[in-house]
Amino acid sequence: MHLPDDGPFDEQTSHGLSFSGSGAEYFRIWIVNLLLTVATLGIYSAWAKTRRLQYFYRNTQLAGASFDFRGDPKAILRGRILAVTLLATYHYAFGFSLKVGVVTVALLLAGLPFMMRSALRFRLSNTVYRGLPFGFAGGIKEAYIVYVVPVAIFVLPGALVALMPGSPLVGIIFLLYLCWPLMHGAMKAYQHKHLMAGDQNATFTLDTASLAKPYVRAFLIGLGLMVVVGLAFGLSVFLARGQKSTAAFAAFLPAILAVVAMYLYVLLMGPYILVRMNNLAWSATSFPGVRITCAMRVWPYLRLQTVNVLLTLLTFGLFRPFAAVRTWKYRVAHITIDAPDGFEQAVLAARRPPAAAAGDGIADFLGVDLSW
Amino acid sequence: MITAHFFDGHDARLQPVGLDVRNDHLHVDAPGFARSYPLTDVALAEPFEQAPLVLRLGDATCEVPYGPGRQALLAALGYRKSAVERWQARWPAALAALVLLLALLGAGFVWGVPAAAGFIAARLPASVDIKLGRAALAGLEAQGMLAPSRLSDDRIADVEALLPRALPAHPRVPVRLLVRSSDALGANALALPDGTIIVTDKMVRLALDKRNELDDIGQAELLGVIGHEVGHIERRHATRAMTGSSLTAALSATLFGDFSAVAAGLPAVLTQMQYSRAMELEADDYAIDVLRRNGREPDDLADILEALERQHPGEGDVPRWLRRSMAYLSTHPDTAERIERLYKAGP
Repeated sequence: MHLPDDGPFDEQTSHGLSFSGSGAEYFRIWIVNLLLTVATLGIYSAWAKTRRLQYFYRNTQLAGASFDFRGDPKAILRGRILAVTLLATYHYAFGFSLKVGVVTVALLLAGLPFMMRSALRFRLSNTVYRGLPFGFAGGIKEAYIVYVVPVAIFVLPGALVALMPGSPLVGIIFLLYLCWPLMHGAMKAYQHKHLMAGDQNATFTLDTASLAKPYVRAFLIGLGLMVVVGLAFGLSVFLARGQKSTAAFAAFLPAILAVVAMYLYVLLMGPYILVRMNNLAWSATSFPGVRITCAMRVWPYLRLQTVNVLLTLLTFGLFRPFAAVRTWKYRVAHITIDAPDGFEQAVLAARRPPAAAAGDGIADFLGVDLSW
Repeated sequence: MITAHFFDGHDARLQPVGLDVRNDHLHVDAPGFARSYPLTDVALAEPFEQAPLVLRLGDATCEVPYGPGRQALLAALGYRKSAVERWQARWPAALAALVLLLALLGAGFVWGVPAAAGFIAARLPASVDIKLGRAALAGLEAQGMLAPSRLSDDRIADVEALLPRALPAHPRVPVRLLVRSSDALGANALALPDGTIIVTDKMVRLALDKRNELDDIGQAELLGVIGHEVGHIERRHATRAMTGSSLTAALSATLFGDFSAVAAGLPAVLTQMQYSRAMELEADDYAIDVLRRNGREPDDLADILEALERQHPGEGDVPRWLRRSMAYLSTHPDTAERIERLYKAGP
């Protein structure tokens, strides 16, 4: 009889997540999925997505039980068709006429927040653990409050350019991006606050501002870097003065290094913010009797993603499935579930909730981060 | 007897059970309870190499942890792999999928996209052409690439008089001809999607004889050039090329967009070049017809192409899509081939 080390029978209070899949196995699933998706002009992608999620979920285990995805591929396909139609309409609407364009943008503004919420509901209510589905209990009103500004940033610039070309108002829309940290924080808070496991509501202890903190820190690091870059440029100018042309190159080395540093900063801040926000959000999420701790670390994660990107480029994309497995393993390995009164005891409180709704494709197509 | 974890689907309790398949039934046994399900009611989820097997029994679920009993259970349940599962189970088949995928993508970009673009372009209303053409002309003027012609009014009238001779009996769209001065375009002619043909001053001068007159040969040369552009308009090349390139861009972004912008951009460029080559030849054929109809030979177009080839005008400021799909420039990679083809078509 095979029993995992963190089996369910001892009253262990702390559990880690484990992953039993491999890059090699997933590569074969991925390539067949990709071929069938291309051969069917994208229709198979809904089934491919289901198989991908099932592969990752079923190979992920916690306290003797695995996760599972039970979404209906046909529902995903419907969502994707809707998403493609909306995006195509948005893309070409202003080419047809101003009226069509304005109507499309209005529809997107009104529809997208609703669809974001539907996507969360679909994904979570089809994720199953120990025979019970997760769920999402976020309200429609709150979905609009949280999503309407980010959606506006996404759809309005195109509309404004078409409506009043050359107007300075177009630039003002981009100023809204300055509020992005708060928007991102609000979205994360919304996503976590209303999580459900069975009929158990999650407790979420953070507010939007605290969730946006990684952005503030990234911004401060950036400011520090700017000072260093400024000094480096100053040094370059100082050294270059009175030099002949060939020696001037050496003098400009600090400036070149400074530019490289700025590039690296921009590249590295994405993963940094992702890691920090994930840690904050998940560690602040708990269910009755069950605490979650997410302790991903910035540098190892950066190293992992750098290798992933480099190898993916070098192999013309063939490394992608391996990269996906590596990333998933890393994330899973850094989550701990604590249940002081025993895990089995804690989960006994959960019951099957009443049935839930559907609608996943749009958020997936738009690249909204719904993964955990 | 195989050990498994049983979940009844109503609460999250994990019950260790033993599984047994007898008499076409799955028996689930635990100290507390015993259940049995007809095998027809047992849904086995796709097994992965190391993941627990998942058996769905109505509301309830059974998870069989990875272990030695697994194969026996699969056999007892009468599990047969689906075609996709067999495919992804073996390396040679998976690698064959990779080869097939590349072949499919290649075929799609070489044949599929042009066919689809032709299909879509054929269904686009003429108003799209007019909008595109006006936008292109406005763009050229805004960038200062076109200025009023510096040729004499008589000379412009001479050139404009050539247009009716190059037109078919019933043109697809109303065609107009503009003679414009342009440093950026050099000796050149463009066909915009709305039926506007632009011939540059330098192109006209190229056709003039030693005494600076537009003689019969010069007229025939310009007629060939205008005929080529009318061919582009009649065959709706600009709209087709633009449909094709935006289609390619959309497809590339869908397929590769999320990992490499470089890979996404490359196919678009490749197919666009392929388009323009086929289209240039089609437009040349049209010009040959125009010349023959007017009692001239394709050599006249070949001659002025050769003169263009010797000129090397600047083309750096021309937008790429315009250069590829509408202009024929001396530096066009296929010009030599086109000249040879035109001479061969001659008497």
